[in-house]
Amino acid sequence: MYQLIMKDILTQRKVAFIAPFFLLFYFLTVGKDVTTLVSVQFSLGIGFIAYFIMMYSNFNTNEGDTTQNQLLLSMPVSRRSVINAKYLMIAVWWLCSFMISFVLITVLNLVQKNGGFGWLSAQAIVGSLCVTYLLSAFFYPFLYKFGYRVASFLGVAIFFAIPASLGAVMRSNLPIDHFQFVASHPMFSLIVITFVIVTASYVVSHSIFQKKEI
Amino acid sequence: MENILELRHVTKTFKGFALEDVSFELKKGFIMGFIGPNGAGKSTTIRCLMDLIHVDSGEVLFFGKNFQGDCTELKQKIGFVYDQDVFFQDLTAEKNKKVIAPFYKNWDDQKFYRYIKEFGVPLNKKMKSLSKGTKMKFALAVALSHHAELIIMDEPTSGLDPVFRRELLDVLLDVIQDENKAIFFSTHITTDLEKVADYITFILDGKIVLSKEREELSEMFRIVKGPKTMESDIKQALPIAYKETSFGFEAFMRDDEAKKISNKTGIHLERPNLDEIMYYMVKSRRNV
Repeated sequence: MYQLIMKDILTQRKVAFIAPFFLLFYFLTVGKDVTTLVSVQFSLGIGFIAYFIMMYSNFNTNEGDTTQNQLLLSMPVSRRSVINAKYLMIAVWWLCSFMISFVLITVLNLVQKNGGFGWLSAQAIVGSLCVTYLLSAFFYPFLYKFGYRVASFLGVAIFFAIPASLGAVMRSNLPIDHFQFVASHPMFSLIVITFVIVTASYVVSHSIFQKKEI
Repeated sequence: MENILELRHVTKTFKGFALEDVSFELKKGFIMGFIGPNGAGKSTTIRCLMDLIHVDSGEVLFFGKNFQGDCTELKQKIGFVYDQDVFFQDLTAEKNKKVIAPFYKNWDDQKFYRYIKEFGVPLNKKMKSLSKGTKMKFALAVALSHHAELIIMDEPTSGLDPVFRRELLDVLLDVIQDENKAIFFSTHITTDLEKVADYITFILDGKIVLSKEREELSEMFRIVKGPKTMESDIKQALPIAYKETSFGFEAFMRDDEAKKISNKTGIHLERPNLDEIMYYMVKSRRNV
């Protein structure tokens, strides 16, 4: 497992770590209001960036899925550990995204002399991790079933669909009674939903990869 | 003597192609050449061996153990060389080594760098900028650097210049000096096998046609040549393949059948090489 994690880190293109710097444009356009941003926005921002780093890690060295899997499975690696490492690496990519964002915002705060890290809360940390895992949970089963092209296309579609659907939900007149628990315990609900979806995604990815012929 | 590799009645069906009842065995201390024309099932068999595809029925055994489920310990003892670019193309050869080496408990850096130097592989260049032959040399250096007991090679000599092909064969002969090791070597360049292989397994249309000792194989068949006037005599001797030439005929037949007509005037017997055996076997099967 450790070797697979190191493999993903060593083969990740450096350009992937530039992705968090796209946040810079976001902060620069928001300007002085940066400290007033809520943790939800940071969770989504950091989650999306981590998700792109994760996607990139699966197509990082120009190999097709087949050739990379051919190499891995010919080495002393089990199919299960390939999937385990991929799901574990999601947290590593999230950590990279979070740390780079942290450094970036710290520098920005110093430059703009706004002070404080209002965004750096437990909610932002857990929220962004959940967003990263949720997005990746949709990506991996498609990657193992249909390959990188289909999975990345769907990945980008999900990237745009989630903010759009969230906006639609907010604007709609959904009966709040049905979602009272979710509304009053948003973090707990997010953690539970993430856990259920990621577990289902892991089981499906594992099942697909076990049967996959390379 | 212990079998290092054994296939028992392996069957795998795809759309339009199938491996049917593939069985053979390779003992420690020997090199087996796996021959057959393009599309015969060589690479598919190797993918079955490496557990890259799942067999429909039958068994693959390495070191006497069934190769299914979590076989990471068995894979520690297997080195592989593929005919495709499986390494990380955007990384240098050195970085590829850094990724691969930790997977093997018995990785030997000293040995790796010795082979790299011997084969002349530039470590600082990206894999994608290396020639096919150099990539193959790198793959071979990797396969030989973790004290593998079985080396599986899929068309390792294709794309190599004759000088390195010869050097590669010398390396293989050197490896096999250790009696606990074995090499399974698929190729359609049969002249390479004439020099090194102890056993030959011939696959055609997904079926094993024969799996024999090389010496035994060259004694099994004869090419019979003669004038056209002897055509009926030859045909009565049930040749495996027969063709007319500008000088007469050429027939490929079993040695015992050939000996029966060898005393006839004008008949000339030759021992076929692997290329000829493969050619005539394919010709006879395709004419059925």
